[in-house]
Amino acid sequence: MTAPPTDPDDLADLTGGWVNFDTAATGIRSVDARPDKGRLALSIAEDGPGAAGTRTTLAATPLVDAGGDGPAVGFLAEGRLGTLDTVLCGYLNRGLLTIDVHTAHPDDPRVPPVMYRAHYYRPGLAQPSEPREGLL
Amino acid sequence: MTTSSAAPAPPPAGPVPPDRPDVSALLGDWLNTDRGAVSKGPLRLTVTDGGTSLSVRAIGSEPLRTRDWGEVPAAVHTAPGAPSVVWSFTAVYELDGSRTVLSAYHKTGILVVTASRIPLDGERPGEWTRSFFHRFREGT
Repeated sequence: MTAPPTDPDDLADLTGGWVNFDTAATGIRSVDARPDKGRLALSIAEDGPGAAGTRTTLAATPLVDAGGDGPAVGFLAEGRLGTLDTVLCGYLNRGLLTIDVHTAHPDDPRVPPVMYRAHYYRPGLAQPSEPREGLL
Repeated sequence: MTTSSAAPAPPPAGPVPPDRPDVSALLGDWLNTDRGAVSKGPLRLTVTDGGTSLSVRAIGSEPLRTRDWGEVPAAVHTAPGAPSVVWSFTAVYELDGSRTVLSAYHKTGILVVTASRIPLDGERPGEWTRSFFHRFREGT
């Protein structure tokens, strides 16, 4: 995918460390996002069977609100997380980073393709007091 | 009992094979709730079941007109721990030098759709929209 380099200032709302406040969840536990030549480099830590402690880096394309020239409000990343083909649709949502995580096993049809949503907060800032699962 | 033909019997009609997840929650015609006034995303989606896969047809919005984006195959996804029911799909469009990834999920009767549009020429920023769709009914 090709997109013009994005000014680091326009990535500021997305960059930094993000932690899944659902500590019981498996999947992506945390994401560190940093500017990388106008794109985002996502360092992703996962939890779960066979994935505990693993960390993978994916390149993400920053996205602005359609029709606007403002800062980036979301990103799209496509690549491999462990053995799974993965599409990450991330966006800022009321101060949280929400990521819709789509996974599919490329070689084993017995593994069902899965989509889950996870919400991440910035450590050091006010942590949400309750899960945001009610959010659409 | 008598038989009048040696022709093979047609395959029995019946429920979807249990090894195939139920896709019914996603099927049908869906209309953008804001009719394109705000979201800039697709105006209408039609999700059909081809038997072994889903297809998505999108009607997009452009200034002063609508445009048929065409029909593309969709990848389906289940929820964690619920492999028998599909609740999400992704579909990719390549139109006018842009690649658009639609990511949708069904919740409480609403289809929530994220559109990530990335120009391939590198001269414009990628764009993001999130839209809500309800089922189309005649007269809507």
